[in-house]
Amino acid sequence: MNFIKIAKRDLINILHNPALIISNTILPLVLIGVLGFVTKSNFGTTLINSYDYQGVNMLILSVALFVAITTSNAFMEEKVMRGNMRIAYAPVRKFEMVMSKIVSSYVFISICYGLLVPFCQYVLGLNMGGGNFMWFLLLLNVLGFFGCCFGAMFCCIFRSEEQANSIMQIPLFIFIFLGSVLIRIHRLGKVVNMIANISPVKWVVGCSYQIIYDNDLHLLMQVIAGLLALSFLCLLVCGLLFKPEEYV
Amino acid sequence: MKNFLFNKFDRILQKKATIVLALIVMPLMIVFAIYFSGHSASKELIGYLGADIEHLPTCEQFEVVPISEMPKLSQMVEGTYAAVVSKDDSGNYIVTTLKSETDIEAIETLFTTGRLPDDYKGDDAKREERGVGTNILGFITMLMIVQGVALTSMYPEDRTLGAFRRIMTTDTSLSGYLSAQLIFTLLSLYIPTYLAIVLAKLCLGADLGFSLGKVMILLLILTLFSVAFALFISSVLDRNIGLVTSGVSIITCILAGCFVPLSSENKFLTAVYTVMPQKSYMELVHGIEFGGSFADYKGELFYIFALSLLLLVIGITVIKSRTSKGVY
Repeated sequence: MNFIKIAKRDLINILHNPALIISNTILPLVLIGVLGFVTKSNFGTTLINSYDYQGVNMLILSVALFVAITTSNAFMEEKVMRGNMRIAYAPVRKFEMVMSKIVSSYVFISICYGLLVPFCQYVLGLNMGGGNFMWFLLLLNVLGFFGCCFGAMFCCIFRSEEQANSIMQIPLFIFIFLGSVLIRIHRLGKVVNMIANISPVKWVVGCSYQIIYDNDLHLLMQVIAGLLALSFLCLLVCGLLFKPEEYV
Repeated sequence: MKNFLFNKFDRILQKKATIVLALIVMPLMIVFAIYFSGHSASKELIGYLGADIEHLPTCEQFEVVPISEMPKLSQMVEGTYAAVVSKDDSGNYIVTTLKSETDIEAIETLFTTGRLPDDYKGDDAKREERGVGTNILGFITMLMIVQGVALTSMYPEDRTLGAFRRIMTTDTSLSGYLSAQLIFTLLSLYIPTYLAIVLAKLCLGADLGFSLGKVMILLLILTLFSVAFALFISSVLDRNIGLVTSGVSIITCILAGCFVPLSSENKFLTAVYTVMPQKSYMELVHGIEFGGSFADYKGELFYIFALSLLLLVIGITVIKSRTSKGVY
């Protein structure tokens, strides 16, 4: 019961933060528009056009980048910190504190992207897999959950929102770069391709392309399992390192 | 001010994560960027579906390989094959690709005549034409902007922790505090980055496209802008500094053509591109790489410096008026 109360409160806190709402709704659309327009001349119009391509890529990019930042904001923002300190005194298990931030930001982003993907498919007419868009959405959701756990992990390690945010962005950018979301890197040689396989973004990108363009779901379960395993690992680190008494 | 500066360096020593970021991760990424923007390991592939594979055309921009079955669309999207060519019953070549009409025509010409049209430039050729150095500095631009804000994070932290209020109630001046922060960010942003570039050049023999002296000046201009931007954004915003920074920097860097060169006939969009300070910077860098001198780019230099100054002034004014009202 306590848990639901805290999670609900956290969700309301997120909803009171316009920057978080904008970056999970309007910003992906702006990115799709800008990059789609900019790369228009590199794409033909028969198979897929630049907006289709960038639509998929930019949704993955924003889930990979902004979701983790959303969680660290929900976790450690100045306004939330005081409330957290009080919860720390209350008879609430410390792990419930971490979980409530993760769950609340996950609920928030799954609503945001749950609206965004059908919006792109049916209103903007981008190719999100047609009837298969649910599978793509599921994949984004799992990636989003991993992002939440990843963000929470960095908060537990660095214990300060500014530091967690600024440092977290570097591994996230590396994941995104290796995932070929902004620039395709598959021709940089065998070594880079091998290193790229460690990036969860790369798994999601490959799987989404198969779902959307080949109507082929066989990678879906593996990728979801992989992401959940990584999320579990992040949760483990949270559990080990999170100490509410250092939370000042 | 001297005390503030020493205090910053003392405090940064406590923050191991930031040190690791500034001294190890950032330079590593830059070396990585330099090493990989210089060259692609392989050419773009064109798959040829057909039996007569003896006389496949060769050219500088593509490599033609025989394939036995049509690749999946997802493989084309991933870029495994830039195009697939097959022959229909009457002997005409059919090109299947995600690329534009111009590319399709060029590839058709390649198969019918054995060579690409003379004026055709694929993606790689366009990148090369833009210059290695410009590609490298374009990538670094975004890293520097994000990193500048990360290194200034002690200043918003001081405000959050209330240390700023305590400092301001003593007889120290605001300008002293801010100059210390500026100098600190400048030094810890500039020195590791420049050293990383020098190391990449000397140890890995990477091709920079510039002499080390020129990089020193170009990087300093970029650093000054990043520092001004960092101080501006940290002063104006109370919260979500990291989030806003990454959103703003990604979009402006794309619009300024830091990753891929842009041009548009649309007047409104051209105006948008031109407003971006990174665009002026990219023009400057491109010009210098191809033998121009700094004197040829007075307009661009003036714009970058003026904008940096403006950001700085706005940031300082905001924080000054807040301090005088007692809102720290």
